[in-house]
Amino acid sequence: MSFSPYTDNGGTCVAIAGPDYVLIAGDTRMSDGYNILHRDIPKLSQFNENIVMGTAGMHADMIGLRKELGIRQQEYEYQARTKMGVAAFAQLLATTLYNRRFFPFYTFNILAGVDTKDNTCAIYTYDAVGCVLKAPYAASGAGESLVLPVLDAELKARDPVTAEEAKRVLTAAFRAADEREISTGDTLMIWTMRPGQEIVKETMPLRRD
Amino acid sequence: MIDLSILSGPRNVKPSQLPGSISRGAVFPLPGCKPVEFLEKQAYTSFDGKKAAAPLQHLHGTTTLGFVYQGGVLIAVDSRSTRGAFVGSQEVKKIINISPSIVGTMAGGAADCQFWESNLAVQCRLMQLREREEVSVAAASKLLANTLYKYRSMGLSVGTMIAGWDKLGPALFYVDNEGRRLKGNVFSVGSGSTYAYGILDRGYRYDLTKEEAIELGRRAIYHATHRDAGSGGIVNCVTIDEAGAEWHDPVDCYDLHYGSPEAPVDAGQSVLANPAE
Repeated sequence: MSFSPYTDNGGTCVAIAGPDYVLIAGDTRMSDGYNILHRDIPKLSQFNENIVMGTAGMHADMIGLRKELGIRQQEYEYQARTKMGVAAFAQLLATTLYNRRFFPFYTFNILAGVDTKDNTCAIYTYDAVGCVLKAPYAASGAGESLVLPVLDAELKARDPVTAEEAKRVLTAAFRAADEREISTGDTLMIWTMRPGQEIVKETMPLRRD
Repeated sequence: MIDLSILSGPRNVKPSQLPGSISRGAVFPLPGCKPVEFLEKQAYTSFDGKKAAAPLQHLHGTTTLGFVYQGGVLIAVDSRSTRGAFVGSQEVKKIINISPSIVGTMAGGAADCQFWESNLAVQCRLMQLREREEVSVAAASKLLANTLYKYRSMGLSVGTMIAGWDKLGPALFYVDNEGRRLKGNVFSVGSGSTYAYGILDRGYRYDLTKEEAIELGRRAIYHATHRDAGSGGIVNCVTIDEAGAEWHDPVDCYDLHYGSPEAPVDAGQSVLANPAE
């Protein structure tokens, strides 16, 4: 057996954006194979009132990544003397991930935020080594392949839905994931961000089996 | 206050004197073994150690093409990003801006292309400020080839075309992760390139008009997306001439095939029957 630095702690994150809101959600299960290690580990990280990151994959790398981003964000805010915007943070996340190109963070991230310049809502998705894509909705982690088809069917090539409708679609998508994917479950955290407003943080139960 | 002293400084500033660390080249942490072997082993993990779950990178299937015609140079690309058999995204921007009159294409590892081509954009901007002249396509492509050559056999995956207009007219270069750099009039890169070449070689002439060129580019990408499962989504197309880069309307492959847009399923209504929540 050779040294293997990675474990996959599973989990799923989803985000949906509309014209005046963005939802980001993640389950709270942390598992290792068939072992459920914890039922209450948040996958969402808040960097300021306009930026939230969702991370699935390896929990230890999520902590490391979160810490590094926090430090870089502090540096930026001291130097620029302004709060960091989503677009800048999205680029920072991409370069931070790519800086580990040959020893990657085993994390699959999505980023949701409110752009305070024009009050628009944005979502960015990443692969483990920092390829960024801007998207109207996104999913990452173990349940990605179960969740994305639901989002496509409900949201693609449609008029924008309201935040309430988006939340319904999001919970339906998580229903699909927690029903059919073993590393997703326990509790669903849903955070709603709106321009100029505080983040509304809600939870709802998922399957605990 | 931004340091603008570089603008009035001597013409030959050494790269090491430039602000920012990017011109000095990034330093990447390495695992305690050979990076290529390490990543090959770690690229896939699953419960039983067999190859399965989440690979670390997406985008391998792709079709991109470019050709020089009498009026300038044209680039056309698909927009699908795959991770094994899973379609990660159908809306990837595979044409990356390098300078106002130079673009690069993306095939291979998505992150590798995105990172090194935006790094190239930085290098070109610094070079332009230093030399007080627009960077030529030849120079831009060589900067990228040199950068990639430094990382040769480190497992990067990049297959790109650098295309644009400079003082010598239109130019098109192929650059890849092996450090290869070729000048040419017609290139296609990616898993669907063989299909694209088929259409391209049949219809290509140097004296194509711009409209004919766009039609040929789109047609070649469309046929590639039809035969290559790794390519698809929408066709993005850009032409570059004296006036600069001109982006043409993206066209969905569905529309190209059926001649009309995809009808939304049960428009305006949820597919899910009366959600209870």
